[in-house]
Order: sequence, then structure tokens, then C-alpha cells
Amino acid sequence: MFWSRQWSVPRLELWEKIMQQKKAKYSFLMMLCIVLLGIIGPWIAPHDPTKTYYEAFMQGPSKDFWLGTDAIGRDILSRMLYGTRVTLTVALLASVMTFVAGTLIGVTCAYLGGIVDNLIMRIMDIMLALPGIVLALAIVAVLGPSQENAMIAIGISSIPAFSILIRGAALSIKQSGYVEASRSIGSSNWWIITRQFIPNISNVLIVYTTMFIGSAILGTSALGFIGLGAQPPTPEWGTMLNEGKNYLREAWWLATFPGLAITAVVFTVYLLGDALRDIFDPKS
Amino acid sequence: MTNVLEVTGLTTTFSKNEKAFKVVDNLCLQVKRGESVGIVGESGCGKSVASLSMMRLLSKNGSIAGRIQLNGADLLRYSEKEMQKIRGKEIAMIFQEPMTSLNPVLTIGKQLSEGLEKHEGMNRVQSRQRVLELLTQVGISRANEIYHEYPHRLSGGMRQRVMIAMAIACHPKLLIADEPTTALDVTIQAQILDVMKKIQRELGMSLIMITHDLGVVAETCDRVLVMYAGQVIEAADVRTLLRSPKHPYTVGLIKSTPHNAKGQKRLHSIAGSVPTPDHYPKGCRFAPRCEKVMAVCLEQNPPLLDVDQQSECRCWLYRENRESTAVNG
Amino acid sequence: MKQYIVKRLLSGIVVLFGLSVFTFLLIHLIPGDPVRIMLGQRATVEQIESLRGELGLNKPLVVQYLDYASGVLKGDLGTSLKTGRPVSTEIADRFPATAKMALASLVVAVVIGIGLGVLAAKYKDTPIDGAIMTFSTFGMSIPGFWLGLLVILVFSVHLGWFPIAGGTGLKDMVLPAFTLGTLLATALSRLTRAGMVEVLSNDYIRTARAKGMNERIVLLRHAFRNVMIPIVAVIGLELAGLLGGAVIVEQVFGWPGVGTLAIQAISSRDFPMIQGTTLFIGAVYVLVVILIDVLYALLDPRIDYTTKEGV
Repeated sequence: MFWSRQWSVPRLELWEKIMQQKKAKYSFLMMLCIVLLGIIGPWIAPHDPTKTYYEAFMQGPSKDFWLGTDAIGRDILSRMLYGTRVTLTVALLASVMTFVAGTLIGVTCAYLGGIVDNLIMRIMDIMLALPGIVLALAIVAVLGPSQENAMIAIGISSIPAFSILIRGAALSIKQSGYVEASRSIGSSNWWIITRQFIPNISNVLIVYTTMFIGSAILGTSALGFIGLGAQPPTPEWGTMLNEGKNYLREAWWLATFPGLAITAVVFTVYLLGDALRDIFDPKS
Repeated sequence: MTNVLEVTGLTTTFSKNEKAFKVVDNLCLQVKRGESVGIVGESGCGKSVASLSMMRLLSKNGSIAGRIQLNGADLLRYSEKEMQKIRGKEIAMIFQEPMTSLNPVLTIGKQLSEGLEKHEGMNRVQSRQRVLELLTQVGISRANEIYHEYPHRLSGGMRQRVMIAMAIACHPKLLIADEPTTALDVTIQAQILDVMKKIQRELGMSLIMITHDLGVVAETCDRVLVMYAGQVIEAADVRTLLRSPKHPYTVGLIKSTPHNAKGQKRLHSIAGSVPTPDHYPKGCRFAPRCEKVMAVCLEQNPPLLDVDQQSECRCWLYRENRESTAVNG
Repeated sequence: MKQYIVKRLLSGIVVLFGLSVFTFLLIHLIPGDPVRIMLGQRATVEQIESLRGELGLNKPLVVQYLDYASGVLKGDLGTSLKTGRPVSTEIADRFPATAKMALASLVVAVVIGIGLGVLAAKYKDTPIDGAIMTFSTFGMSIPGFWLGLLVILVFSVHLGWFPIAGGTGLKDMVLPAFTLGTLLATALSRLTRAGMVEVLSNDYIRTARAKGMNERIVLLRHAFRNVMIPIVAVIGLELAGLLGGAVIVEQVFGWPGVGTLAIQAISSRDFPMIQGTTLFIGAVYVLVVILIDVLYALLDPRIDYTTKEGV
């Protein structure tokens, strides 16, 4: 049907579509592996991530320590495995926050229009006047540096962009006639929002949320890196890079492997987002 | 008179998802110096693709077979670089959509002079002089102002005049006009056709007029080919074709033009639509829509047959005329 | 045209006003007593009371804001708790370094991003296109600070071509500008490609080819000019990434810019400085975006602001 042409794949088919498309399939499987690592990481880690090996300060990759040890003799690989869970949890929770608030704001604005829409969008504009990371920094400044606050800051700082995207998608639904039809048969606002808007923009939501998880990982690790995110000795990847940046000359592995992990995870997430977009919107 | 253009067995194939579609099938066409030839057909019959094939302006997934000889030289053997010297200089083209065929961010002057600068080696002063002449020639007053304007400030008719000026800038031997008036208001259509006819006479150009409108053909052409589903189904001079059409499709086409429908209550229409290249029927491609369909039509696609001395027609109704002039497509 | 600029400026002023309210409120949003948090646990009651008075925290909120706003309008952003110098002076000292790096990065981003984008569009759906697009996704996935660390590791530590960090000379600028520029180039190349692909499907491209123009002219004169207009708008949006990225990348290279200043301020809970740098970065961004919008309007002949003047 014409109005749903752009983003129309029934839920049940999604799985099949993912398995049919090469890019979607592999990025999805890679993502599963990463999540699995996040879950079982602590069990397969060869060492205690916080244990200091006094005989092994800043050792390069070896048989005992596959990815080397850090400045105070902790095993990098084990710390990274524990860190997978930290990074994924923080990014996921931040994205959930963005998702819930952003969808609510976006759909409400699109649905109500008028003054409410105008006012909220103005506020979003103002928040957008600060580059995402600067807004996150301001929020961290208020709340104080910690892993939870980094998560909150990244979550909040993505809300304006997310809600504007969702509002745009929801507006196109609103103009499509069947919302009007639904209202004319006496449906309540809540019913229309939950049964008409949300299902019809769910594909857009899935794609955007996937993309935002990627940037949330980048954001939280950036905060960790500048020392305003997760605090040592938490094995968060960005924080690990922060600890490693002072030993570039002596220990290249400190500043290499956690960064590689971040890049790999974000790359996978973006690939998956891209592939999902291709599935939902074959035109582009 | 010699033929400026001689197209033999032109076959254009598009490949998509590893399947090949013959959009133009074995087209043969001669255009003499100063002559106007019309190619008529419904949308999707392959006429536009045929014209783009002659310019070698198809997208990457299209391939051309056959021969396209311009003054005896086969264009299909030319390299892309050599073709660039032909386009705009020897063969020029006017497109259907004047609203979108001009570049919105370049001035009219710039767009008209770049061909002159490339093909004629003119400098800016010379080309400007020539562009102003051209604009006047196609009936644009205030040429001086228009020179500096951007396309969005011009009406559709004006833009099509600009397109004509652009096409004739380097005195091409052949002009291909692909539905030049379709997108215009009726009153403007006549003006544009007049301009084209006038210029064609002045320059002694040959013209290929591609259109779905028999009225346009009647007004501008000497000879006409009717295309259906990628093939020429009838070829004749204009008078013969309009007075005594041979092919049932042509008959239907003429009947369905408003001019010929004065006495009738309703316009004639041909049931069904042109089949797409992946759904050509086994026999005659028009058979499923034909009022005079016979058993043989469903089995075998007829060749182009000579009907009296004046027409060629791809129809089994004329099979008593044995001499076929072209190979069965 | 004038009307448009005025309208654009007015909406900018609204955003700036909102921004000032936001930065003003930062201090009041702190959970607990802001003054105690700023001064730390060992501060005496006298110190706390004196700072409270200095910051005007005893006055009603509206009065406080009016004081703050009128100060900002006069260029007074308060005094740094750390250095005791005016915040505006500190920012003015650091801004040239940030601007220098931002501009250099923008140049790198435009050259790489647009170049790759045009190339990918030209070879659409070929392995070249695929490689460029994969590279671009990859580039978007690399954390800026890590890319910075890597280039330091390779070019400074191992090859010794560039100084590691600290200076602000031309040679010091190469690596940070390259890092930030590459990051921005990835997004820019995607947008350029998308724009070029769309423009190349237009009728007027066929017209240009029918005129016998060669591919280079078709691509650069006919297609790219049309893409350039949306790209200018995109570069405006990229500035957010540029300024944000600069904050982080400055940190990696020890670049003495506004970003480093802001992060130091957050670490040391120097709230007047935090407010000042936040407001400053926001204001720069808003102003540049307005500038770009106006430039955009001037570039596109189709946007017509003089309809009533013509005959």
C-alpha cells in the first residue's frame, strides 16, 4: 500500500530477510558472538582482571598474557573480556534511555503538533546547538564523573537528534490518511499512538536505534578515555586506553587492543544498521 | 540523395539480474539529407531507447548490436572519446522534459556556449556572440538578458527553445527530437514545432522525430515508422500511412487520436497494453490485442512485408506479398 | 535576501538565549550544594559563604539569571575558580589554537571526503565503490581518540616524523588535523556519494552528455556543482562533529585549545569555566551554522529572495 511502501516488512519476515542478505546475516552473527562474549567473558577470561602480577609489569603479548599486561601488571585480555560486558551494558542502557524518551517525544510532537510540538522542538534545537559530546560533557560536569553518569549523559545527549528523526518519520505516518480514518471512528489518542504510530515507524526505530547503539559505544568510551566516564579500576575499554596513552613509547599494546575492540564492535553495529536499512528501505 | 543516417539491424539489450531484455529489436532506418522521419509508438515501445542507442547514451547495463552509420561511418565502432566529438556536433538531441533537461545551477549562456567552445573551438567572446544569434533564431527576444538567466526563471516553452538552440548550435547533420512537445501546453506545442520546422529548413538538417502523437508526425515528418514492442511494425511515407494504414495496430492508433474521432461518441481505444520485453508473446507481439488475429499470428511473428510499393508492414494479413524486405526479427 | 538573513539571525538569537539559560542552570542542577562540590570537602564555612556571595547564589533565580545574562552580553563570563583569571580571557587565549586546528581538519575532511564520494559515485556498484563505502563505515566506527593514539604510535613514536604532542606549530598540527579530518571525511564521503548518485540520474546530465561533454566535465561542472550546494549545508552540520571531535582529539594531542580547557574545567569542577566554555562552543556553532545557511542561500540560484522586485 502506498503509505507504507517505504518501510514495509512484516515482523515475521524480518528474520528470513536477515538470513537472506549476506551483509545482514554476517553482521548479525558477528553481533551475536560479541553479545555472547559479553555474557560468558568473565568465565573464559584466563586471569582475574584486577589481579596484579608483580613479576609482569607492562609485558608484551606472550604465552601467559596473550595481549600483554598493563602498567600495574594486570592481564589485558582478561580486562578486555570483562570490559565487553561493561561496554555493551552501558551502551545498551544509554540507547534504551534515548529510545524511550526520543520515541515518546518524537511521536507526541508529531501527533499533537501545534504549540506543544513547537515548544519541544525549540528546546531540542537548543540542545542540538551543542555538539553531542559537549552536551554529554556538560551533563557529566553536573553529575560528576562515573560510569552510570556517563551512561546517562550519553543517553540524554542523543535524545534531541533521535526525537527529531522519529518526529519526521511519525509525521509522514500522520499525513497518510489512515490515522485520520482511525480517529474518525472514535479511536483514543493513546490507542492511535500505540497501535498506529509506533508499529508503523517500528522499522525506522529499529534502524535508528541500532545506529545509536554504535554511537553510544563511541560516546561512552570517549568519556572513559578523557577520564570522565567509568573510573579505574573498572575494565572499561575507553578507560583502559586512557591508562595506556601515557605508555605509547614503552607499551604499544596498551593503547592498541582496547581500541581495536571498540572499532570492531561499533563497525559490526553500523554494518548491521546499514543492512537493516537496506532491508527496510530497498530504494536507497 | 544520400543517406545521412543508415541504421541496420539495431538491437538494444538491457541486462538485469542476469536476464537479458531486448528493448529494441532489429530496427532498420534510413534518413536522407534534409528529411524528417518520425518514429511513433506508445510509451514503452522502445522508441526512446532506439534514439539513445543512436547517440550511444545508454546506461551501463545496455548493449547495442547492429550498425549505425553516419555518413558511412559506423558509430558503434567509435570509442567513447570519438563519440564525444560526434555528440552535439554531428548528431544533436532534444529531450522530452524541458523542465529537468537544463542544469539548474548553470546560466543559459554557459550551457549554450560550452558545446560551441568544445566543438568549434570558440573563445568566450565568439561563443557569446553566437549564442545570442542562436537565441534570436529560436525566437527568444531579450536574448541578452536570457543569456545571464538561470533555467528556473524560464517557462517550459522558453526552455524548450533553449534546448533547440543548444541542439542546433554546431549545425548538426542530424537532430533527434524525443517527444519535444509532450510536456508543453498545446498552444506552445505548435510554436515549438514551427520553430523546429523553420530551423530544419534553414539548416538543411535531417530530423528524427520521436513521438506518440500522430498529429506531430503529420505536421513535421516526411516518412514514419510505427514501433510496437521493440519492433518496427509499419513504415511508410506520412500521407500513405495516415490515409491507408496497413497494420491493425496503426489503424487503431489513428482511430484513437481525437482528430479522427469527430463523429464518434467515444474515442476508440486499443484494449490491453504494450507487453514488456520479458513478456513478449510467442507469435506476433500485437496478436493478444489484435482485432483481426488469426491462428498463424499466435504461432509465428511475421517479418516486415512489402505492401504495394509504398508501405512495409509486419502483419500476416499481407502475406500474399511474398517479398520480405527485412529478416524476421 | 535581507529579510531572510534577519529571520535567520532572529532564530539564532532565540537558540542562543536558550543556550544561555541552559548553561546558567548547569550550576543549579548539581545535586547537593554546588559551592561545596566546587570547593571540595576541606573548604571552611567562610570560604563557602564567600564564594556563594561571589556567585550571587543567595539571590532569587531570576535575578541571578539576569545578572549572568547581562554579564555575558558584556563579555563577562565570570572568573575561573582555578586560575582566578576571567573565563573570557582564558577562552580568548585558547580559541586561536582550536580554530586553527578546526580549519585545517575541515580542509582535510573536504578534500578526502568529497574526493572519495565523487569517486564512489562515478564507480557506483563496482568494487571501487564497495571499498570506499566499507572504508567509510570503518572510519565512522573508529573512536577519534584511538585513531589519534594510533597515528602518534606510528608516525611519532615509530617513524619519528612528527612531534608527539604539546606544540602548536605547523608540524604539530599535521597529525591532529589528519585525525579529525579523516573522521569527518567518512560521513562526508557518504553524503557526497549519495548526492552525486542522485544528481547523476538527472535529465540535465544526459543533456550534457548529448552535447558531447567529456565525463570529467559532466562530473565536475554539471554534477558536482549541483551537489556542492547540499554539501555546503552538510559541512555546516559537520561543524558539530568538528567542534565535538576537536574537544576529544585536542585531549589526545595535548593541543592547548578550548576543548582541553573545557575538560580540565570539568575535572577540576571549575564551574564558571565549564559554563563559559559550553556557552562559547554552542555560540560558535550556532553562528557558523547561520553563516553557512546564508552562504547556501547565496549559492543556490533556485532560492529566490527577490520575487517582488522583478518585473
